[in-house]
Amino acid sequence: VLVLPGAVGGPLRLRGEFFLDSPTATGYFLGSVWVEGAEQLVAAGLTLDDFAAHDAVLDRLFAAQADRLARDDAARMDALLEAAERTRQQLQAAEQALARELDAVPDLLLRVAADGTVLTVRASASTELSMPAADHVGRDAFTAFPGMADGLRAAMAGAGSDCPVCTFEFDEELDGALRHFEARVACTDVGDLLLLVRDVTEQRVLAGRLRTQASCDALTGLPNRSVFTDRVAVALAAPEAPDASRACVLFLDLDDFKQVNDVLGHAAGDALLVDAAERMRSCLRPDDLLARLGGDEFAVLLAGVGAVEGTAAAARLRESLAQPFPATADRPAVVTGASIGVAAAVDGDTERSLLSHADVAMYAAKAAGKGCFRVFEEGMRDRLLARISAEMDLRAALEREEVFLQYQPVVHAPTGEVVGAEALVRWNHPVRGLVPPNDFIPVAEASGLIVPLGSWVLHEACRAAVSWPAQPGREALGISVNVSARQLVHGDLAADVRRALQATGLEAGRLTLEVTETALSSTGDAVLDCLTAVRALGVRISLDDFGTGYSSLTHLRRFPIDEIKIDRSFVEELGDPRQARIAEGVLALAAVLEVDVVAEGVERSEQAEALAAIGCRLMQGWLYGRPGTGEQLQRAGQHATRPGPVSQAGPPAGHARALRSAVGRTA
Amino acid sequence: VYGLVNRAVEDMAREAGGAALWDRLRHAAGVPDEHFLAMRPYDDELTFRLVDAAAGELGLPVDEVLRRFGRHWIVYTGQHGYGPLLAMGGRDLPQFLANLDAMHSRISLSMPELRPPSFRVTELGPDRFRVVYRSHRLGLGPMVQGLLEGLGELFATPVEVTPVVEPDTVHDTFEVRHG
Repeated sequence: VLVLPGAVGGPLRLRGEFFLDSPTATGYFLGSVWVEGAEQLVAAGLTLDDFAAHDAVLDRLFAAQADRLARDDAARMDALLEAAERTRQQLQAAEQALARELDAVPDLLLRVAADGTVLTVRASASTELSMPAADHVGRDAFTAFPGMADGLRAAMAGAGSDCPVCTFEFDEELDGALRHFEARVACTDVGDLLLLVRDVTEQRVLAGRLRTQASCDALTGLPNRSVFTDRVAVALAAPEAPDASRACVLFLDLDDFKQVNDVLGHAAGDALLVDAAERMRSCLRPDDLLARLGGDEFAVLLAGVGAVEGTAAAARLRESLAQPFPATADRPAVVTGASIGVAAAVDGDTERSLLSHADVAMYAAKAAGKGCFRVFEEGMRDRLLARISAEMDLRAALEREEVFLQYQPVVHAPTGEVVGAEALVRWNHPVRGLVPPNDFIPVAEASGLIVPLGSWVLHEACRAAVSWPAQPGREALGISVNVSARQLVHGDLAADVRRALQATGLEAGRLTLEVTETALSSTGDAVLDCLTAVRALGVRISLDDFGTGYSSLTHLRRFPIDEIKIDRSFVEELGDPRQARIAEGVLALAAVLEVDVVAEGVERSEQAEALAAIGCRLMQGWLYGRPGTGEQLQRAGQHATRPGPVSQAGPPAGHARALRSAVGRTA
Repeated sequence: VYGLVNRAVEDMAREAGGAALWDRLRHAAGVPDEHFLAMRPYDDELTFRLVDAAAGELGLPVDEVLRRFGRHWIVYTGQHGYGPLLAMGGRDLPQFLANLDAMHSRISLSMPELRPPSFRVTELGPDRFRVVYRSHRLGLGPMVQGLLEGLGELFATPVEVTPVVEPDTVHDTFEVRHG
């Protein structure tokens, strides 16, 4: 390189070869300007005009410029490729992330071409398909998924310009089971359909269950009150057919169901409700609506019928429910019954008023002694209110000590000797005066007041009996106290008796508890346990009203009975030879069982003689004395009671304490 | 047209309205690839579409856009490394114009698909000369006018460029009065 430092614009560098001519000792430099860039030429003040047309220097300069441009292009290409690679990697990462997210989605993702060809299928692990997902690709979607054919066709038809997202549901059979699906459809930019298919079978089942729970009683599966009320409203809104009523409603309440629950437990109670519901269903037409309103309350809607048909249905239901419920795996045998209210729709009735009428009628049936039905009639509500008022009165009477006891003597007929008495409760109302027992005992039974009332009677009777001194040469008078079914199942009767005996000092053997056959029939082991416990105290048990209920030898065998009281209805009809033979048979049976017999309701001497003739010696009734005070009873006990001893062979009843009994509790 | 020219158009658009304007021009002209390579030949039609789109976007006549581009081309090339070569084009404006054909001829060696125009300069007086421009591309006269004005700026010489109307000719003629 030869550098000429004195060149214009700065040093000029020349590139070439240097030769030495030895002979002449002369050096030659063959080369040209070494131009690295046009700047050097410009700096030297050179222009194109200073070069020959094909000067290599200029060619090199322009080639260098082109080279720079090419290098710049290459650099750009590298940058673009790098950017594209980064974008590709980002896309790949995004695709992988999306794939992971899609894997977590339990849905089936389908891409279907406009002609119905399945383009892609993505099924998660939990998505059920009839074949591997990949096998669907390329198939006709209408064939591959026949269940969604209609929905898919509609979606394709609606795939217009704006192509909104639409949904449809369909059913598909998979592995023999029908499944429900929901599909969401969206259009892609290229005109394909993207379907997100979700299995909603479980949601459907759950929704159905929730609907059922909202409208049905879980125990019996019957419609609940809400549904029943709605259906009554619909029935009332229906056009009334000529000569036909729009609807009749029955309200049913199982009698003494609470006792079943209390004594046998809620599981047995529930089982009884289910069985009762089934029995009621069998009594009704397919179109009749049976509902459980709650507890032991049921209701029936008879659409398009009136009171006549309603009464007939009530009779069928009453009869059916009165039949004993045989023992099942879930509960022992139970005897119950139903009180039924019937209300037929009249003009102006609303569902509320109609249900209210049926309710009132049902309470009227309960008040009438249960196990029956009543048809709603005007005034029934007033009577019900009067009954409620009476209940409140009775409750107040207990607090104000307006109730008191009277005692009716039980006589040993052959001698005319008073051997005991039955305690009978009375109510001296401050305004109404003496209230008949038939008016308030049912009220007390229905309201449950019979339990505290019975306890008071027990304690008061024991206290009174203790005050009756024994006559010389005679045993002290016995005292009989009536016990209701509610007291038997209440569970603490034995304890109450023990407290009464301890509090008064009455000898246990002087006390007799009278129990009706009905009370024994409607309950189970709890009554047996209760009576056994009472008898263990030394207290006697009398079977009251014998012959009027479900007279059963089982009762006599199973329960610790000391005495039978022949019901007054038999005594009244002793003139009928058939009745007389029944009474005689009872006496013979009692003799075999070694239990005493008391005939109650003896009002005439011929009745006494007829009873004496068949061997009955203990009698109770107006013939021997009306209910009176303790003092009156004692005075009667000092003398042979009128009409004097009836002719009869043999001594008083052999059992030491057989000489006491009583007539019916409301004698 | 080599990508070099299209990049100059892009540069002018970005200078005038930023990336947004350039994106609008691209879309309006249907140009999918925004990365022009300088040494790659592109279809002339693409460049004309860009010019048309610019006219539409800027609300200017096409001729005015071409004129502005001609001026920008001189400035742009000066800014992107062509300055020394341009400076070697001549010591003054007439000499530069006279050397343009030679310059294009040499550039053609490295850009074989280049179809350069031709410039003939005739001196009319000490401060006036005539330029005859010929090109196989028609309608670029306004751009040449802008080029001449841009060269006046490059050589710091006030110029007045007047198109000479010559009916029935395929070339464009300009009279240039300069400082």
